[in-house]
Amino acid sequence: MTAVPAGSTLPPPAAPPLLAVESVDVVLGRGWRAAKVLSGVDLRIWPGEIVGLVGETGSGKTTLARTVVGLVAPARGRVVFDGTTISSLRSGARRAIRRRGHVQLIFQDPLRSLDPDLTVDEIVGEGLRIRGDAGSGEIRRRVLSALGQVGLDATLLDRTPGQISGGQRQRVSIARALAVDPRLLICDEPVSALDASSRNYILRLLQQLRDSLGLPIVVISHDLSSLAGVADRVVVLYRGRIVEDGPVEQVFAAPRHPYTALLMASAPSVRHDRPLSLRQLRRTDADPAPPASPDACVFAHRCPFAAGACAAQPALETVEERWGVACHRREEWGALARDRAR
Amino acid sequence: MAIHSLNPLPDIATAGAGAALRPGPAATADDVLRVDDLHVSVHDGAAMAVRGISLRVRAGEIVGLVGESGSGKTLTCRAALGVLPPGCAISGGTVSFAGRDLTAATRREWERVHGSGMGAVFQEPASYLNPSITVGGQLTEVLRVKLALGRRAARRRAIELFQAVGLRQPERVFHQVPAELSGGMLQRVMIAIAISCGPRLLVADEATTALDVTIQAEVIELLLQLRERTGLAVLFVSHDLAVITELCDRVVVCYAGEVVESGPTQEIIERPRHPYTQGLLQVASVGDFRRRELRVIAGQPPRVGADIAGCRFAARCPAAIPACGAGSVGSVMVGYQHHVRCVRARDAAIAGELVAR
Repeated sequence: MTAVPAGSTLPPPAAPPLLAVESVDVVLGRGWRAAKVLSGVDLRIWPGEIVGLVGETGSGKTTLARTVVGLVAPARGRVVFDGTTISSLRSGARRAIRRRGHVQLIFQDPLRSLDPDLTVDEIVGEGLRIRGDAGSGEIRRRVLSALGQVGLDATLLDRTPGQISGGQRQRVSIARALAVDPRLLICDEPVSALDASSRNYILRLLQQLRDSLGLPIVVISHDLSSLAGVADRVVVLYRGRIVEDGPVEQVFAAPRHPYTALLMASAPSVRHDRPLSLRQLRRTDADPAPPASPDACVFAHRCPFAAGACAAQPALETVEERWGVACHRREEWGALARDRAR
Repeated sequence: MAIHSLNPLPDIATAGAGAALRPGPAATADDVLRVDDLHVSVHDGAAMAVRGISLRVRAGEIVGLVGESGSGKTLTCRAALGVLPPGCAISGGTVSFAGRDLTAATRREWERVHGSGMGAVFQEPASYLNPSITVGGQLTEVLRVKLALGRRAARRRAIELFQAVGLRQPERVFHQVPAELSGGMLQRVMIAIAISCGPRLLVADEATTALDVTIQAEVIELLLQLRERTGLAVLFVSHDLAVITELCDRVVVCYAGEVVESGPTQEIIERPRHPYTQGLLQVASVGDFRRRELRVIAGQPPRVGADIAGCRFAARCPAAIPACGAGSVGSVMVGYQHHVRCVRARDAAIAGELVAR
């Protein structure tokens, strides 16, 4: 149970962001099946920061990740990576950018995302082989160095994903991403399938990679408590919209959006001293009906504090430096919640 | 209703349903499920994955079974349900349900216990439901086969059950197929099916692991409500100690096929005596939202079925002494219903020192 150095603080906002997602809408499906999965999403990632992306199933976390790597094209807005607008590239140029592997995705379940018939050696080196700019000796060297970075040794090289433990498998998928020298790592629920100890190991590993390589990392997770241990910034998505985005410590100490507070109150905990209880944050039939307008705040139907103003979608407004909240009632709901029965 | 269930005894007493709960070693008559010295072999007998696990679940009690993957928790609950995977077999010990030994039960006898005696919920609800039949149809099928209800009565009961598990618009849900429902709704459907025949025991194996935190909190509340209303006993299996402490009256901690510690939840959280339990508590989500070092339990659990002289945790234990490897370690009682399998269980230094780290 050794210590790791505490992570960096927020990088200087004056520097240009590495990744900028600007007013992005994403529509999946066509015709009557078309569904707007992301609406007006603005997200910036600076070098060297760990950003936690939280939200429930269907909130658009994975779609946002897929949009960033170019697997989904936005219907509106743009994605700028290091000065290049990658969302408007045509297929050939987009493929070339993807092949370079600047942005790497890591998935939740390595048993499904890793080819079960390939060995660890082949999996980790595959990205380099596809890119085709390194000889076999160089590939070998980088495979071993990537495995070393995730704390695995060469004895695993000839094993297949089925022959190693769950924690080791996730480390192999991180090594696979590291082998191509990425500039941004996006981890989609990297620890949900793991035991608590392996989960913490992987999160600490990500933190160490950030500290040693300056690599910015986006961690999609619904475990807020462990996210609080590693992330610098947290972004909360609800039904395709960012409802809160701010420094993780401040947001978790005093969330400004009622949905963030609801997520925190829902998180299972060994201690039972939550500042606000679920009952104080959940809508009941006794609460006044939420505004019925089609343009209403996305959270209004679940929000016990919804009022007339919530009939219009709130914009993400800056409440403090680098802390945005999309809630009309951000000043009032806290006191209202404390007045409700626990 | 309150989500906290840390104080098991008054909780049950006020609920009235589990009034039979009189804890103590002699209370065998109230045991809904009793697992004694269970041994389960895997790989067609090549290795012993469960090595003498004993536990009991009384009427109206929620017992948590916690451990890492490979600790034998899932095999134990599958053995209790009589649905061990191929290649696995009970090679010793007994499983008894409501006083009847099920170890030698025939398929027919199991069929009588399934549904009406025990219900089960697993991690991925979608994979246990037929994707092309409405969920209402799948629930009424159970009701018609197990309870011999007529078509109309089964439909009425199904809608009542959907309502009871907190599905809004139960009539509408009745006609939907699994693909039209969210994960949380599907898990509620699974719980509705599991409790449809009024079982005395619900076995929930990682039943909330795949759910969103908000939905997980709702499912935990639902299980607590069902216990209060119907006296349902629950064996709740999870790798997440935080979830277990939200729900369970008692906790059983498994490591490498053995029970290393068991006791009332409050006692386990406040005075964990086994170094492994202390480790689990340190890595669990403690409800701390500040920046902090995330802890890990160093090392790896032993290979499933490995033969180890002495304590199976010793290789990873920060408090190990030579005596730990000397021979098999027995379980000792260190408090009210609190048992620990540790050579240093009575060593006062263990209790404070490790937790403080």
